[in-house]
Amino acid sequence: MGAFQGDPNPFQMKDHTRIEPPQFARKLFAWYCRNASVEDLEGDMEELFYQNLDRMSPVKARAKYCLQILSLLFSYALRRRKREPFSSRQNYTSSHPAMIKSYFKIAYRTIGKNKVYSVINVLGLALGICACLIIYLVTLHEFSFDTFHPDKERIYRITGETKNPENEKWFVNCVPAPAPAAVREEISGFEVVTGFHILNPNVSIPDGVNPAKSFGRKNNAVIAAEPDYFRLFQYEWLTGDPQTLNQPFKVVLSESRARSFFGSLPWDKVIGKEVVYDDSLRVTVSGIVKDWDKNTDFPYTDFISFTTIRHSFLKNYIRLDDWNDTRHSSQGFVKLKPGNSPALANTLITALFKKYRKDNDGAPFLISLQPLRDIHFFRNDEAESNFLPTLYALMGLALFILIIAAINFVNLSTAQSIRRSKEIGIRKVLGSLRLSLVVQFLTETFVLTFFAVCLAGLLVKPVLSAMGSYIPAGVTFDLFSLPTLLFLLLMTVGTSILAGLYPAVILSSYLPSASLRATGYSRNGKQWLRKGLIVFQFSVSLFFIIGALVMGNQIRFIKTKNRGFNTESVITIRTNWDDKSKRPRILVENIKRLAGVANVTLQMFPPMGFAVIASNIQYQGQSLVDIPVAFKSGDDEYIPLYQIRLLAGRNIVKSDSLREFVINERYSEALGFAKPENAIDQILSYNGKTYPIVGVVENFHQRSFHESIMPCVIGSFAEFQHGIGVKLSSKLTGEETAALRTQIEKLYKQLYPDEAFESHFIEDEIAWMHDGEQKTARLMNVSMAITIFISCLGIFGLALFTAEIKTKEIGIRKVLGASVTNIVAMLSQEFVVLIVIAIAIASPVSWYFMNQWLMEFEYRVNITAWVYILAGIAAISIGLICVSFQTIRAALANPTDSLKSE
Amino acid sequence: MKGYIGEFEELVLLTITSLGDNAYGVSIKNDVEKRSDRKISIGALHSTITRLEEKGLIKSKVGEPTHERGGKRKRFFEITNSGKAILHHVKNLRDELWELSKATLIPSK
Repeated sequence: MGAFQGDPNPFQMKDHTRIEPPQFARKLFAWYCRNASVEDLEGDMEELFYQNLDRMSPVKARAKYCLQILSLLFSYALRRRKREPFSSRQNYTSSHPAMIKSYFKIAYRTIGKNKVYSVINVLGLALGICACLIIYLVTLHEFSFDTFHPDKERIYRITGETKNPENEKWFVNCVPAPAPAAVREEISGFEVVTGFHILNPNVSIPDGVNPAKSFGRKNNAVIAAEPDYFRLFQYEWLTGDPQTLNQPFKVVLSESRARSFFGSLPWDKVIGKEVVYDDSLRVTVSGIVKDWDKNTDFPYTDFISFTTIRHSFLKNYIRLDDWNDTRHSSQGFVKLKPGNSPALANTLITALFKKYRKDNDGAPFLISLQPLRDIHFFRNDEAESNFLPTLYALMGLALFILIIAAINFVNLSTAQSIRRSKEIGIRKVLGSLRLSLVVQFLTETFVLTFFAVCLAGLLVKPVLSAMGSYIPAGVTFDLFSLPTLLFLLLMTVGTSILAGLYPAVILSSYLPSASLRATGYSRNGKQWLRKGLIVFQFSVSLFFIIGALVMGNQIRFIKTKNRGFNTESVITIRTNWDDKSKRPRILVENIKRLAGVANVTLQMFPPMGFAVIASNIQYQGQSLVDIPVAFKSGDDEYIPLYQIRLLAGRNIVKSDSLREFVINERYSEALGFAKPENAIDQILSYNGKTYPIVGVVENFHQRSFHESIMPCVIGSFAEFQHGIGVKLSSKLTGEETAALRTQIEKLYKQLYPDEAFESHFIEDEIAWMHDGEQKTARLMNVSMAITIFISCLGIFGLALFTAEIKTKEIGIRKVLGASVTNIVAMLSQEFVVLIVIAIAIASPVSWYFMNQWLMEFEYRVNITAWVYILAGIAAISIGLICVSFQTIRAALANPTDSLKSE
Repeated sequence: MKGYIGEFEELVLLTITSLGDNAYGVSIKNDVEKRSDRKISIGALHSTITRLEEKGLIKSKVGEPTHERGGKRKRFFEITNSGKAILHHVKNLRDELWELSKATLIPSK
């Protein structure tokens, strides 16, 4: 008893070393077990065999051994072990907590060891992620408008499509004023039909004793609304109710508006207070609603009762019986009953419009109900949203930047493969599972991505404020909001997989036998991929470089091209459009008297601007010419002030009514005159009256450079002249100009005490017309900077890698007498070739897209060859500078260092 | 008490416990054979050991390479806390039944 207990070596060895267990059984066992881990079982068998030899004959011991083997072969123990993966009984599985700890530890070490690579990767990824994050915030903001209304999917705006007199398609996002009421009365199937009218009145609050407190007309959000408006959109009523709007001369205010009017007065005292719109419309407050605190395109604060329209001067603007007048300010909304289709409603309303719009020249008004969610993207009177494609383009751009950064990552990781192939080989020999290696590499990517996300998170706020003019107001970054966190998580995981999966799979596939060979692991076959990625990156960069150059040229062209008139130090002032008094004329005379003012003109609009009034004018020459002509209205100082050059004839004379026309060269040609002189004293008929042509001026731009110069007449339509152009003396300093503008404002306030003063330099107004292009161009510049930066990171990393694997070659070359220049040239050559290929790819693509962009301009620059030359030189020099850090260092290295180790 | 162990499993489990640091395939086999006076195949023993390990009653670790067995390593087994618990449970159950049937168990003369 106890013979085995506590005995570390429980069997005694006789001299049996020559007798061995039967080979075939041993082999059979080994073959059957294949990869399963059975070392201990084999050991046990051997030990038993020698133990048996002590007690019995070798033959018997052998037989016994065979029986034991058989018992094992059919045992559950072996079945179980075969089921388990190779060697995992001794090792942890890939998801064991200890392994996860190990992944992070190794990732930390690898990142620390390759600081340059890590920094490059983190910077690149951070940039990409930051771009994505910003675009995501913008998108989130843009899609957040009016999403909070109950039953929002049943609310539609009545919009339609018709044709303008020039037979062009015309998208109309408003309705004739009588339409909503007619729809309500004649068509059933709607839960709510309501119309409202956007007003832009001057607001003041009479106080009884003191002069009325004026709130101007800027930033007003005033509408005339029916009680049904509050059935369409839900408000919380603090006091009063919608039914009060059934009476005329009532107004419902929003809480914030009431506070700004009446301070902290209690609500019951606010009710019944008087508000005056446009000096004469006196209404009393009948209710207060709480402001919406979410994003909306209906930010109205004053709701004047709809019935007020018929009882006040508003009926002159809102013509409730005129079906042919469609103004943007008249809006119609419907809320469908559940289950009703908008398509049917479209047909019915179209038929209704046809019935009432009688004297319309045959162009049908095709109604299409516009869902509430689309309204935000169709703010302008355009059939296609300008904004949505831009948003999609931005999303694409952000994703693109991220992909380029990920490509860098892939590139650098695979470039490191030579360094890491030995590590991988050793790991595999020591029994690492391929899955564990994949997880290991992905963890490294994950850690880097995590750093990049943190960096991007830090960058977002400064970038948002730096790019303020591109970012819609209201976009904010709140790190701890759920959508942001979810997005960041998604970004981290997505980017890790995007950037890490390919290198992980490639690196983990190395065979230990190959990677541990003394010569190392050469993977020349994969070089094309790395090079391809560099070519791709540089193509993108070049695309943006060329784009930025072309756009820059076009914008310079817009700024510097002779427009046909002079805008230098001219400011414009606008006065109340509806005012019929002589006040503008008085103001002109007053301003004229100020020192420092060179000239003043009374006008409708400056020569070039957003607003162009056009109408048909007839000329009876050899044949009738009846074409639309742009009207420019100004007094006799208009042409001299803007220095529009007269080609023939004379300027118009001072007059209070329209008497004569000056026309532009284009119109003179359109009328069929070979020379401008021939047009003089010809007779034009307009609105049934006739007017002589007294002069012909050089063509000048009336609209943005997207559109061609129109035939144009200049005349004095005194009743339309509510604008003033002031030319300041060109000698004024900035301070003097500002002082002068203050003086002009004072003069204005004397005549218009209740109106806000607004004046702009014409040059600024013209710049606003091309605001979109300037923004695109600046965005192009930013994209260019980002892509160049990322490409530089990429090529820098690749140069680092190339210099590293060629260390010995460089050493040998130096020993054999190569100069530093030779070596730098040798190393740089490869990259120059790649960039040249990129130029070849990017040139036609960018030509195509930039040509498309330029085609939108009626007046544009040509894309010249030097743009490509410049872009190419820029790309090659940037590339070479990046590469030179590495190549020069490699070329300067002492060959004794690089050659001594082997 | 969850889990159930058979008679042979109990025997192997107790043997592993009694062998302490030296519980591996051959030593367990020899001990069981010697004490219970029956021949067991190595396959059956290892199957039982595997099941015990699956049930979490024992754990194992691989030892250092030895000279004796052609350099092959031994796998040592050790009882776990749940193994101990189940042995106590089995013993208590038996004791209880013994207590109840003590009178009857006296062999009749």
